[in-house]
Amino acid sequence: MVIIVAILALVVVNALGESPWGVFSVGMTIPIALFMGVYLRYLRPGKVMEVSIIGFVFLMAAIIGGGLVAQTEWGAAVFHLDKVTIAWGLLIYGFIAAILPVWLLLAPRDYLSTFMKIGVIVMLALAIIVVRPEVTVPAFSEFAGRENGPVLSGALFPFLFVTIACGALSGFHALISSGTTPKLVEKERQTRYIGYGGMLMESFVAIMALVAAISIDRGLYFAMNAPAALTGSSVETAATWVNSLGLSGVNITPGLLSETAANVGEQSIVSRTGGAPTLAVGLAHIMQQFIGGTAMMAFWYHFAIMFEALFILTAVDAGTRVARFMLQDSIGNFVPKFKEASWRPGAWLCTAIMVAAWGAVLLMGVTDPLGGINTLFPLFGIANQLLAAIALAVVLAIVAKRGTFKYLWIVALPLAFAAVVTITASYQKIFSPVPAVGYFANNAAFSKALADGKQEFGTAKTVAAMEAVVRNTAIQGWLSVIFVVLSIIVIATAVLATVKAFRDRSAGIASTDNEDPAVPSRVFAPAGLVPTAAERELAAEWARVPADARLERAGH
Amino acid sequence: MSAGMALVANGFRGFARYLGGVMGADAYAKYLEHHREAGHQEAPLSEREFWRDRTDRQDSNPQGRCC
Repeated sequence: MVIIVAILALVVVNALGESPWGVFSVGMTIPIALFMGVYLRYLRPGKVMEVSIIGFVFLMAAIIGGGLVAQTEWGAAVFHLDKVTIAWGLLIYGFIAAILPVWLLLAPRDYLSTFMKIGVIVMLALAIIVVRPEVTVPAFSEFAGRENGPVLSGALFPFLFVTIACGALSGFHALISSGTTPKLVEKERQTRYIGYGGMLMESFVAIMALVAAISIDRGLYFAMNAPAALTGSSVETAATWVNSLGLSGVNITPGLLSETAANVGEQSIVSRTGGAPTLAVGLAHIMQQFIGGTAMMAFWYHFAIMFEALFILTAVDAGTRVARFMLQDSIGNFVPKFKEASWRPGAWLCTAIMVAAWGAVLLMGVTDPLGGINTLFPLFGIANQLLAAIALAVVLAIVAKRGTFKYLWIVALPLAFAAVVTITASYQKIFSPVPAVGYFANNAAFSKALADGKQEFGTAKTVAAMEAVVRNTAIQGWLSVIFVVLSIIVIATAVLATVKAFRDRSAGIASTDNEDPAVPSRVFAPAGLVPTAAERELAAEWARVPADARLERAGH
Repeated sequence: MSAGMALVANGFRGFARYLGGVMGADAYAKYLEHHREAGHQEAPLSEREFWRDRTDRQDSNPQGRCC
């Protein structure tokens, strides 16, 4: 949880760093959300659509206003912030947002974020169909068969499969949906189409993002996503570096890099890692061909940044809240007072601890000489997929205990795949002798350089930077070890439980499962999106029952 | 002509209702429906009380978010 929040925050920091326009328009979302919160609470409660549209209009004004403010001298001076300052700002914001009441900030921003999300996805889908962007990227990149790609190091197997992919296997989604799906359904069988439909929608979004990312120039992609240590941060060095990669069909000029930056209203687009700026450039590239032309490109770029920042900030705020409650609960086992959610000092203390936890990871990522996203992302991906393997292991044990061995392979197969992929990836991250892949190999290389009294080594240009690499790789390495050991314990326990259930059944011992007994539904609803003939008949019958006669009287 | 307009208006209303459903704007209407069907004796919460209660509940039971 802490790592997820930190990575999300890091994406925002990377997108807003050195970008006065972005800082202003994303900053404006806070007063807009506060206004919406007050409107919904006191002026017109429950008018969600109305306030969302008002908020959306303000949001567009903030994006356009951001462009004007960034052009003025004072605006550029005030809102031009480096990444460390933004990271600290985000920390303070995260703390305040997590202790404010939900109605004031989180709930209105949730509405705004949902509104934007649906709008962007529908619009981008339309634009892709109308514009039909040309994909110039080859089916297999030159880096596919190698282990030293500049954006993410390591071989395609296993690292492709630990990249968090919406619509594919993801532990984080397993965790979130376990809590939310039961609240969305009218009966248990509907979970099947919620789960499957959710997966399809996620892949739809993922493919849209993929189209946006591969329709921009390949050279541009590498110039944007490689760490500053490789590109050298200026357009000239970045262009030289990208051309030296020997990619087919790539011949990028410094002029194209500065022209693209000017088109999207930024000072530079070199080494804007984290994915959000790349997606924003891709989206702007497609949308400007649909509406507005090059003149509108800066608007579309910041529109995309806004859309990403909005839901990431909501996730950061909500994540901090959830983590705070978990901590309060744990401490509450020893000091009962902490269990009271309304006890201010406890809530504030726990919020501060959780913010400090993700803040430390965030600052580590922001200041990392190797490029924080590039080193933290594998850790995040592996942790996420290990969580997915744990989720599958738990499901395996449940299915086995219920005695449905005929269908056990449906769970066992993906579990085996996930376990092999994540354990291989962890193994390589921990034991690989290649410094670019193995955390400890990198740690040893930098420690040795320090011991030899070198003043710079690899991408770290100062002794302090070298010490930072040693510290960061040690933390990341030990985190990987802890994650994989815990996961192996859970998976092994689940497999043992499965074997025991199978033996018990063969021996004729009745298995005991911990499932709640089935409760017949009190309402009628079809199981899928399209009701079957029999369900339609029942639905018609159900509709004929007067509303106040549908349920048995509870008697209160 | 007017029949066509009515059809368009109807379609638009349906679309707005669908969008409202996706956004969670119809929570109070759903609550009223449930309240009626469940046959509670006491009067339902007013719209203002309902939304206040809803956000206060979110305050004490935070939920995670994902993409």
